[in-house]
Amino acid sequence: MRSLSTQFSARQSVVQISIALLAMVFCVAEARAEEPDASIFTLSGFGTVGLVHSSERQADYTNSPWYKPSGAGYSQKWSPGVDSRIALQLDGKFTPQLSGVVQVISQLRYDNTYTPSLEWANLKYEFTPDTSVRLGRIVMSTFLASDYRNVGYAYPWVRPPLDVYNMMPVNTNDGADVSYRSHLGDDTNTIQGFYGVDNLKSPGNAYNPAIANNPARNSWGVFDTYETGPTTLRLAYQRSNLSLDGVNTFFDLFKQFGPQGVALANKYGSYKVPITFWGASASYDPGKWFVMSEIGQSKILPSFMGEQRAWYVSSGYRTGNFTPYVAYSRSKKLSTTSDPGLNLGAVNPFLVGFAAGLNAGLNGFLKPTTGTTVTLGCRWDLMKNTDLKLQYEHISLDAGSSGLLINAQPGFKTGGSFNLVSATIDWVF
Amino acid sequence: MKKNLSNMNRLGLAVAGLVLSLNCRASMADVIAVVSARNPVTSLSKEQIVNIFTGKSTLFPNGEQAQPVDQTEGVVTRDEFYLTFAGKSAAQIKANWAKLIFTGRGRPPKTVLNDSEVKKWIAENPNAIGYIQRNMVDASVKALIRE
Repeated sequence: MRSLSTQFSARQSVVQISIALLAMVFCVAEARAEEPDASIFTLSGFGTVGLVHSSERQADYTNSPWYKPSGAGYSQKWSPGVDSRIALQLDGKFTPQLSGVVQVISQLRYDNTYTPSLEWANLKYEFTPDTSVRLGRIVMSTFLASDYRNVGYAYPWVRPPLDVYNMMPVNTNDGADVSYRSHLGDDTNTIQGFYGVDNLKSPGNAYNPAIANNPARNSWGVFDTYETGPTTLRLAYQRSNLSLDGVNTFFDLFKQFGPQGVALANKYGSYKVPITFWGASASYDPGKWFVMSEIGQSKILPSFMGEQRAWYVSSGYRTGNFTPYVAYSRSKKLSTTSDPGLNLGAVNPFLVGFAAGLNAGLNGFLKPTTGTTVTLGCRWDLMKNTDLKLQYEHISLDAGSSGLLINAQPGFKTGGSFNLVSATIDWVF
Repeated sequence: MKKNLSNMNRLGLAVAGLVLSLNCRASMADVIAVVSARNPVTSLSKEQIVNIFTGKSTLFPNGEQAQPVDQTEGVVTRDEFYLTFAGKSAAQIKANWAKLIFTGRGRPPKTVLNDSEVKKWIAENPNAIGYIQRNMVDASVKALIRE
């Protein structure tokens, strides 16, 4: 009950921030309306239309297993829901120091609709051109492309390598961040720190069909980016406390089995579990070609998610309007992937069947979601502000792994391999 | 002897080709960065200029504010500028701005239509920096020496 009320107040505060921001935007708009040439507002946007086909028909491939309820493979032969999205952004520059941004995005979400949601909404105050504070909703820059992962036009691939980019379930922050940029000769170093909360909504699961709240509390982190000529180097560290309420309704069931059940629930549930993450990135892009690599390690313990490490390396060559590229990514679960669960000899004989079912469910959660992906693709800048991409991926799952697939059907076999073909058109305006 | 001659011919052709391609490069590099005649800055490195135009830096090396003035997308001078100074195509420059705009990190510089407009703007804004074709330089602006 207590957690319900805190969730409510957190959501309320986000709504309040958003309304305050919008109110401010329109007040200033009205005040400036009489001035000629007062272009304090800029409207822009971006979008992607895409189709994905998966050779694995017994489960769904999606770009966000945390957030999306369906995808390519089982639900649809060619799925538009994996990559298609459209977003509108309103920028306001109120004074040389004060600006604001509101970005609304429509993409397939937890309730299987394209209802628009608020992706960014913050006010920024620049004390100097190199020192700024932002207040409101900010997308975390966990990896190099995390905060623009929806803007297909901004990167070479159809989507950033998911083995790496999906390892963190928390990627938005309602709070504050501070950014300081320093110049060392022609090089720049940008250090950014943030603090806040988040509430990720997720689709129902086998144990709890309702849409669930997954509150993240006390999130904070530090990102440092060093740019020298065509080289970018980056280090990231972040923490959070995460409760996956939808999943916890399953782990709550263990608690009726006395101390051994409570111990299992606390070990593998996700009750305000601390997440720690570190990451490192390097990219070299002199113009004609690029090579980049990122590595990250997350520790979500004690919980079924455990400890995971992932990395990728990618390179591409630009020739005319075409950019063929390759990528190789690898994820690995470092913590336990199975547990004997409840000792069936010690449970009430009437509940042995139920307890065995819980043990099977527990081991389902503990299964790794890891594997390797080989990606081949080509980006074609076919006209101004528009690109077309074709991408082929071969995904090999680790033993016992169901990868990032969702909606696994009884005929699905873990540890296999499958192919994906994706085609997208990205644009910005 | 005959074989040698033909080799010489080939060498000659290769040299001619090289000269031609160098000439080509020289004409491509005829876009230069300009500032106000009143601006004390006389020279900047390629990287310093690129940093100012791509949102990485907002200051001249002497600590003064730098206000870049860009040319409209699609203008030949613009494409030449980014290709010779940053080694990047119009699409790559656009992709870079997409990263900054849609993460609230920055907005692209003011744009004007052509070289004459750049000069007019710079004459009125002493902190401005722009780029024009070398043969368009006159007393209203100062061409920067590339370090």
